[in-house]
Amino acid sequence: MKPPSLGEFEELVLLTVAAQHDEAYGVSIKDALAEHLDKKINISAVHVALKRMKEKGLVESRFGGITNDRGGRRKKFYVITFMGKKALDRQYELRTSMYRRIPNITFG
Amino acid sequence: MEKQPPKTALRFLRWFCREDYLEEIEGDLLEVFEQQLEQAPRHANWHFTWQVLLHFRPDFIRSFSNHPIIHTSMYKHYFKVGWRNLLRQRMYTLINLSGLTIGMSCFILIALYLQYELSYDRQHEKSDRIYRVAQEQKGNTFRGTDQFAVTPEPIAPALRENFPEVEGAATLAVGSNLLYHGDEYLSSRLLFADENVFDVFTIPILEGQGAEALQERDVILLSQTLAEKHFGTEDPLGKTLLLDDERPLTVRGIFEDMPENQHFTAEAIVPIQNIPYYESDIGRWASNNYWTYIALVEGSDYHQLEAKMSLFDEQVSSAFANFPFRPVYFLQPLTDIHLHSAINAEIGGTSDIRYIYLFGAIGLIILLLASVNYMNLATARSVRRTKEVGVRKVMGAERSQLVGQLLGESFILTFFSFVIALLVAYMLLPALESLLDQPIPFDVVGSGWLLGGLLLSAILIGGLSGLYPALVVSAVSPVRAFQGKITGHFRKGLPLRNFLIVGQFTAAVVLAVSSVVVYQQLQFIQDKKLGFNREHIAYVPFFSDEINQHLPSIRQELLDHPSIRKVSVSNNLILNTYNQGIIDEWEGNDQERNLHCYRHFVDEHFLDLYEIPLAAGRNFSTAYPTDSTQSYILNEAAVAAIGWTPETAIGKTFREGQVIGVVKDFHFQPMDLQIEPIFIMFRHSKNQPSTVGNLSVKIEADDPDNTLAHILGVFKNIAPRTPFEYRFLDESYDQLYTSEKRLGQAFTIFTLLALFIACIGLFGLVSYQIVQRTKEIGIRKVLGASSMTLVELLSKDFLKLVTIALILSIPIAWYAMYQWLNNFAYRIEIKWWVFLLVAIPALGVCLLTVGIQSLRAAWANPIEALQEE
Repeated sequence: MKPPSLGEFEELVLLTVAAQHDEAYGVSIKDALAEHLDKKINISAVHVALKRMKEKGLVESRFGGITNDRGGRRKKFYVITFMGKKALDRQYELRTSMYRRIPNITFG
Repeated sequence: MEKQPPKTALRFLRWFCREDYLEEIEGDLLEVFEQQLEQAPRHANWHFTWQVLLHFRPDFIRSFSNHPIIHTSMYKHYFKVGWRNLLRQRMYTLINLSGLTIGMSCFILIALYLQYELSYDRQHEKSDRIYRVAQEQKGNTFRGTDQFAVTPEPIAPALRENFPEVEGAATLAVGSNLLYHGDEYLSSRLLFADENVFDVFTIPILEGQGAEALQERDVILLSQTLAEKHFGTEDPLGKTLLLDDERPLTVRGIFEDMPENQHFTAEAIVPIQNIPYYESDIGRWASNNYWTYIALVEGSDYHQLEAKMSLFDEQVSSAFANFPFRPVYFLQPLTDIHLHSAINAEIGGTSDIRYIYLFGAIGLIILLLASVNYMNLATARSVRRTKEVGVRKVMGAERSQLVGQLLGESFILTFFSFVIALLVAYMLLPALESLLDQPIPFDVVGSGWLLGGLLLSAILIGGLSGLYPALVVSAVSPVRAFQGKITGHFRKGLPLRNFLIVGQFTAAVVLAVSSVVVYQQLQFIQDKKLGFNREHIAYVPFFSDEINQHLPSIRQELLDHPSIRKVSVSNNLILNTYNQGIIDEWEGNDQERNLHCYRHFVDEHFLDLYEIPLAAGRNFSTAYPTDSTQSYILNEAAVAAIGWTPETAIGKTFREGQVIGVVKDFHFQPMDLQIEPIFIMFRHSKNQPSTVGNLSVKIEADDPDNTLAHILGVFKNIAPRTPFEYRFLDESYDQLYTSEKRLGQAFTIFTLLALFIACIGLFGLVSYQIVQRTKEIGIRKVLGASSMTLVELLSKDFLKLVTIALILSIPIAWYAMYQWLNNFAYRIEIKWWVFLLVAIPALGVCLLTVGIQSLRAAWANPIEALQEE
């Protein structure tokens, strides 16, 4: 089966979800992305990306336990699915194969 | 305690957010908020609110339907029940919906007509700052007004030169000269104009030149349609046309057809220098032969310019030294001309704003009546659904569901009726067009207000007629609904309803009385003795010198036909004489008194053909050589105005000649004007060097077609290329009163509609009352009341209302018709029996409406009425 399409920001979020295996939730994803990209990330953007990827079946979610943090609200943890992994692989393959086709150019 | 995030934002989030995402989003937001508190505590609150707002997007907004479990099957069910309800009360449905549909289509038709009438002359780019120069001649009252639309030639150049705020000033004239291409007749609807016409009006040039061409003299511009009609695919530019068979004009440009909703139209534009008398009019302030239009620069006030036009006073005074009046110039805004201008010498036909108001009022009244009735009846009908509502409530329906159902039903019905009304209006538009004799485009979208207004009224009607039942019926508790105890609510609106019934019937009866009076007046005009015989007379208007010169031979040829008895030539048509002037020379008057006197130029057969009797003296005769230049025949009105009697008038000097005869008064103007003084002169080139005229023919009743063909044949022989048409005098006479006729027809139609709608209203109210009083009727029957008593009981109130309406309508109708009849110098009296004539059938219709309903209620089995409890 062909994996569903993946937007640029969605890809980044999915990479983070995969990297933080089983420990990824909204704020942690946001923080990681902000650190890597070195720019401010809105939590709402993360939420939208997560929701859409969940609808496409690229991630799955579960609620964590109740803690005293966050006013007692449970965290929702995300994990990458098989299909999600395949989508990432495909994307990676595409990028590298295309990258290799760049002739050797030296700048300056 | 730590700092809390802003409550409002949090509440907002909890309100809109989907439940399955709320916990996650709220938690994450709180965590971000805490982070923010550490990093930048001052912005934390603002940041939090912003983040909440960023989540306000379709992905996370919950469904706001109260009934997330509603399924399409429920809607299907609603439709089914609604449909069954409509079918169960087929009669009501039909009457009610057709009433509303008729009212709405009527309104649409009237609105389309008004929209068109109001759109006149607005297509010009500068239409809001174009004005027509007109003049008032105090003391020179002609046909009811002393204002004239014509102006002298020098005024346009003078305005251009003296006032910087005048952006452009054009001198125009309309002509009915004949235009030929070789042997082919093209058109006689010409506009004479100078090149400035393009500075004022927007007349798009499609091919060739516009203003540049008009700087020359021997050129012509054609309308697109005229050019296509006669040249087809050929290039019309450069072709030579003939004006009046003599002046060659070269086609230099093609302009876009002038729209129908412009107060003057033409098929060709000819340089104004081609008017034969134009040259002698240049600079002459008494040459009132032209229409002048000016465009002002933006933002200037035309009243100021009007005041400044006194600059011309000196020149005007010297030009009018021999006249007993001085013209004062004023400006008319272009867009007002079609509806507001009622002055002499109009450039084209105009309409009357009073008709606009009248039609507008009638349209609104009909729409109002129809909508009120619809709501009334719909409300009355909804009472029957209390039980359905009760069952629904027991089954667990929420109130909002019920309101939605009832309101929705009402909206769907109203919109259905609205769509049908649009279709009906579309189909009836041609009929209205022929009734009013003018084009009306089916432009519903148009300027937007029409469609908007209609949609708004449809929504209002649907909403209001649905809202009342929706709110009242749905509020009833199921127990009360099953007991049938809801009717108490409906008594409250009674005074309003009574008022509505009275209002409706008053309107209907006023319209009915008016239409009878209008009909009577038209009949009166039809039968009025005119002082001449208009039967069996055909006439042919002619415009060319060719005919004028051959009149004696034409006459002889016509008389050769066995069916033609008499032939006569006159300048004006006897029905509508425009030609008037001031006379101050007659025996015994040393230029002291002025007499406004019409004039008529005829041949010696005129009085004989029209059977106008002489009161004294004799007719013109070729036996007296002086008759052709010096003899006058006056009418009785002229003689009386001077102070003579018909007998003493004979032989008196009048102007440069003598009075030889006095005719009995005859109507030479429409009935809205008194018979005024007129003198009749022999038609002779010395008296009136005019080549236009009318040839009247008295024909025998049998075989008119053959005779008319003969007449046209004679004309064709003399002037083969000139178009002629014959008309019948009595038909032309009727045409003088077309606007009154239209009014009469419109009144008849609207009367029927208003009566129909009023009856629907009554019907609704009766059925309503009967629903309320079912139990009362049942008990009365059980206790022995007869059907007659019950009918009386039920009808009494309504008949009382209708009687009040009848009494109210008498003074209103009388006053309205009195005003209308005042427009006529010759009119009927309003007879008292007219009111009876209308009142009796009106009462009869009401009795029938009320009686049938009451009888049905009275004949019903009392058990059915009483078993409900």
